[in-house]
Amino acid sequence: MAQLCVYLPPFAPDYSGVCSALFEMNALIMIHDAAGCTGNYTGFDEPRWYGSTKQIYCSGLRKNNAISGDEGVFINRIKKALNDNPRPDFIALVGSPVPMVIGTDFAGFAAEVQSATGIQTFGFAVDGTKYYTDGYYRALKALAECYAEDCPRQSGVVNILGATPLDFSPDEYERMVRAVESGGKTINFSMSGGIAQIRELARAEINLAVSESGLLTARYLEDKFGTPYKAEIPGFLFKRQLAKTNALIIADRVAAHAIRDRLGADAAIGALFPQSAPEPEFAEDIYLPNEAAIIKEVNSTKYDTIIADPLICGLVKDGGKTLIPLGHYAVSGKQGQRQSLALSNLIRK
Amino acid sequence: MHKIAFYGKGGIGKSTITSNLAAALSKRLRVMQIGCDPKADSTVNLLDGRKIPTVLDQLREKDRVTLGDIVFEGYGGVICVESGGPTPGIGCAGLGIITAFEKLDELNAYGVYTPDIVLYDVLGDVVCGGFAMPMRKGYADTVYIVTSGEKMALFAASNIARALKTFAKKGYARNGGFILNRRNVKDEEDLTAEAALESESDIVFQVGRSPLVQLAEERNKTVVEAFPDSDAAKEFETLADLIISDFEETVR
Repeated sequence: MAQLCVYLPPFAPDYSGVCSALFEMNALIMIHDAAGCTGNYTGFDEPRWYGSTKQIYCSGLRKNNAISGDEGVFINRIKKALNDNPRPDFIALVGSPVPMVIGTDFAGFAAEVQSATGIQTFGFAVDGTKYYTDGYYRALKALAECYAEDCPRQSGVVNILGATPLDFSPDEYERMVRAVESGGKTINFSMSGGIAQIRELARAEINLAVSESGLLTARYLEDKFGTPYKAEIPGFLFKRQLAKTNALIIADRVAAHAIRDRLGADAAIGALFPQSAPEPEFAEDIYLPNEAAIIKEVNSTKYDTIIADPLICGLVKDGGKTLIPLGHYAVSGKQGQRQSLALSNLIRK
Repeated sequence: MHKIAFYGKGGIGKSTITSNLAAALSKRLRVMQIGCDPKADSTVNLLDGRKIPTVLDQLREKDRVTLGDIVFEGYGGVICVESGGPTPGIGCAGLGIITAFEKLDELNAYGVYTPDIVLYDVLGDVVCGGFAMPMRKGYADTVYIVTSGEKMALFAASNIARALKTFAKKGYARNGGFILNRRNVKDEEDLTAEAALESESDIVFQVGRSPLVQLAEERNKTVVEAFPDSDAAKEFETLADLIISDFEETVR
């Protein structure tokens, strides 16, 4: 029962992470589900979806399809969807809980779709049991395995890894880009990158991991190409001054550390996702694997100030604590954005 | 590392053939045998009759499963694993096989034990996606279909051959052919050859009927271990030669 969420919504899952990483690309994305997971992604986890014409489809998996295992019906649906955009760079088949339960072989499914359409196809065997951080990493890894070339490193070129709306608002992202470019650097891959930028991932002299998703990806690229990385959000400046200093910051790990650095205070950090990287500065983070752990930590008498998503702030029982709501889209979506000081209010204008 | 799977109708002798082959191969190669059957008795004759804990048993009982909990060494150093399954009558055996295979991958079993050859002994027919797991890309390179000349065994064999053909587009294992485990039924070889032809397969090997195989099993051993100088044991040595030359040919 420790995994049960009574007050908090489930955080953005792995399939949302895959889709979020691929959203800006010229791709046909099909979530293999009955509609609930696609609805969760487009309705709650993807602010770019509203008004967009992006090709995010639901496979329409039904009981009879699950029983028969006939993937031909989905392949025909993909072919029909290709009428809207006959030349995507690739097709992405994205898993969800039901295909996991019926044992869908996404690699095999992707091979069949590729053979039927002649278009490069990736199968992502995600199942909604992990977080979006893992999905983002898997998506970028699959693209890098397929397209990235071992090109020479170029001075002044950087990749921004882990920038998606699940962690950053459009304003925050723009400021990040501006900060990098005003520092005289050229950005190869970032939120808006496509296959051309994936091909040249190795060109970067350094990768900037701006979130947990980015850290996972940066570590992989370090292994693959030897590219060094830094966990850093460019242009980040926390404007708030705190009278009291016994703060607990619960946010994406990279953002949480950036806030603490700017605070200059001895704040504790509560990490919502398992530690992905061996950075020594992360060693003392408190891992909060479930709602019960979060409730216990935010109500600890050790802290007089809580900096966290507004829904997490709502778990604090002691009215005497200072609460600084910090919207995190992957936690509370649109609702959190409305109720909080968005991260953009806390960073340098 | 080469990986091969044995499929065929339930009770046709897959486990007997697989474990005798493992014993014969173990004289020349480092062998891993993975039983993919909820009964979990594929490797029993390599382990002197000892039933080992299965991957799914351990996953049910422990929060954190290690390779030491699920991998055991048998006759000739054969690395033995049993995937196991749910309680009979409930749960999903196919998903059980998938979960067991994923756990072995997660624990890097092939990397840690570095077998030269992996043998998958798979329950019965390809009844659902889970039982096709050992055929999937990244698992078996080749599937051998074990059959006798009996009608139901040949029916199952042609179903399996058809599944392999269907799965070719997904990059699954190739069909290595039929292995005829003789039951001495009338016109057995002709009937099997005819079924193989219809399935675009060949009979690549025949295992003769020998009472020594049963006698060895009564002693919880393979015939290769119990009666190493017998004709039956020599037959499995010959099968081992064929398997090795087949995969050397494929690699070439």
